[in-house]
Amino acid sequence: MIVPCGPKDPMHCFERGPETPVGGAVAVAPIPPTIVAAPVDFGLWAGRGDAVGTSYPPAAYSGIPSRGQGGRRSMNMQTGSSRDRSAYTVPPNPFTQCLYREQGLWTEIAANGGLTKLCCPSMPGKGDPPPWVAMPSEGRRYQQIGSILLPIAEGADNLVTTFQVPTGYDGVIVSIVNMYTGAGFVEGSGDLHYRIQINRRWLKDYGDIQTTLGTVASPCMIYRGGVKLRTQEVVQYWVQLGAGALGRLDPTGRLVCAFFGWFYPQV
Amino acid sequence: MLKDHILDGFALNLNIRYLPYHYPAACLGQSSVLRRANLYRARWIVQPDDANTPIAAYDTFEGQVQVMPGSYLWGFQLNQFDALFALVAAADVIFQVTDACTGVPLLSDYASGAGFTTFSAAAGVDFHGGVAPHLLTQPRLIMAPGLLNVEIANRAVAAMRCQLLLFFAEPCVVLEEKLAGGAA
Repeated sequence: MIVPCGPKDPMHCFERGPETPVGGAVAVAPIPPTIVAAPVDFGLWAGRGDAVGTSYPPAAYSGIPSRGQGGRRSMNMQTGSSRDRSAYTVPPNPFTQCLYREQGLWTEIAANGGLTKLCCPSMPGKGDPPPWVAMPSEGRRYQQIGSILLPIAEGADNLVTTFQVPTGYDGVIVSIVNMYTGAGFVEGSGDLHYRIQINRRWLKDYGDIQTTLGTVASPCMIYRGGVKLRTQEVVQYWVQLGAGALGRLDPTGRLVCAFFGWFYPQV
Repeated sequence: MLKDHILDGFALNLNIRYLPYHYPAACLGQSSVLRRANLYRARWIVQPDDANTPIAAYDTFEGQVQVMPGSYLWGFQLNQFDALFALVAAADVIFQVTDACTGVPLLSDYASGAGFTTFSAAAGVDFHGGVAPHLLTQPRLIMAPGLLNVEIANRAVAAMRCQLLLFFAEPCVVLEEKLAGGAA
C-alpha cells in the first residue's frame, strides 16, 4: 500500500508533519529513513544518474555533493575517478521519499504493537500463547470422526469424513486418526493411501499416508504444532485402495478417519 | 502538478492496452510512485530455485525467500513445465505467498496457477497467456526481516515441475555501509 503523500503532491512527501499517534503511550521518534547516506560505485550505470545510488536523510539532502563536471547527470568515466564516492551518489527523489515515509509509518505501527494490537485488543497479551497453540476460553473443541466400509473399487479416492471451519472462526488440527479395522492390512504396503485435503490442496506430508496413524481412543498427535485452518476452509479425509488391495483386505473391515482440534474466533 | 511520463518497460509493452477500467493499466496507475522512485532496483526471485525440482504427487513445496526489508512486491507469475521444460497449462499447481513476519498471506486462499501463467494453447504472438507478470493492485511493502514463505502445492496424481517468479523493487543499500552497521 502506498500512502498518499500529502494534500499537495508527492513533492511534499518528506516534509515532516506531526504523525498521528497510534498507540498513545509509546513515543516513537519521527521516521528516519532506514537507509543511511553512503556512496556507491555503479560504473556500469554511468550516465543514468537517476537509477541507483545512495539515499540521504532529508536533513542532509541539501548538502549532497554532486559531480564537478556538470552535476549528477554527467556521470562520465572519463572526467573523474570512478572511485570518487561523491560522483556516484544520488539523493532520493520525492517519490523515493514517499516510499520511505510509508515504511516509517509501518515501522511506527510495529513499534506500537502492530495492527493486531491496534485493531484487535482481544488478542492474547504478551506472554499468552496464541490461540492456535492453546485453546482460548472462547474456543470450541471439535472431533470429526467418520468411517466407511471397504470401497469396492481400487484406484479411486473415497471420502471418509469432512468438515468446514465455521464462518468467523479459524481453527487448528492437533491430532488425526486413520486406521483400518479389518484383517489383511500390512503397514506401508501401499494397499491403503490416506490423504488429507484442505480446500483444493493436499496437506504437506499428509497427501499420501500409507500407514495407520493413531486410534480413535488414542489419536496421533501432529507434533511440533498443529495445522492451522482459516475460516470456511473445507477439510477432507480421503482413502484410496492400491492395486490388488481388494484381494488382500478383509471386505468387512471399515476405514476410520478422524480430526481433533478446536476453532477460535478470528483475531 | 504535471509530471513527465514514466518511461519504463510497462510503457513500452505493446501487450498492455491502456484503456479505461482495464486491470493492468489501473494497477500501473497505483504503482506510479514506485515507478518514479529513483533508489529502487529490480529484483526477481524464483521458487523453486531449480526448475528441475519436481513436486511429488499430492505434495507441497515449501520455500522461503529473503529480500531487503523495505522492498516492494509488485507482481508475480507462475509457470508449469513438462518433462522437456516446455510450458504447459498450469492446471495442477496452486500456490500461496505469506509474509513471514506478520503471517498475513498475499492471497486469501491458495490460488490456481492457471490464472497467472504465460502459457497459452493458442498459436501466434498475439495469443499469449495474458499480460505478464501479473500485477498486484498495489505494490506490497515487505518490512523487516524481509522474509516471504512460498507454498506451491501439486494437485495432480503425478509429479510436476513449476516455478513461481516474484517481482520485487528493492531499495539500494550500500553493502559496505550495511556491513559496517552490522559490525557496530
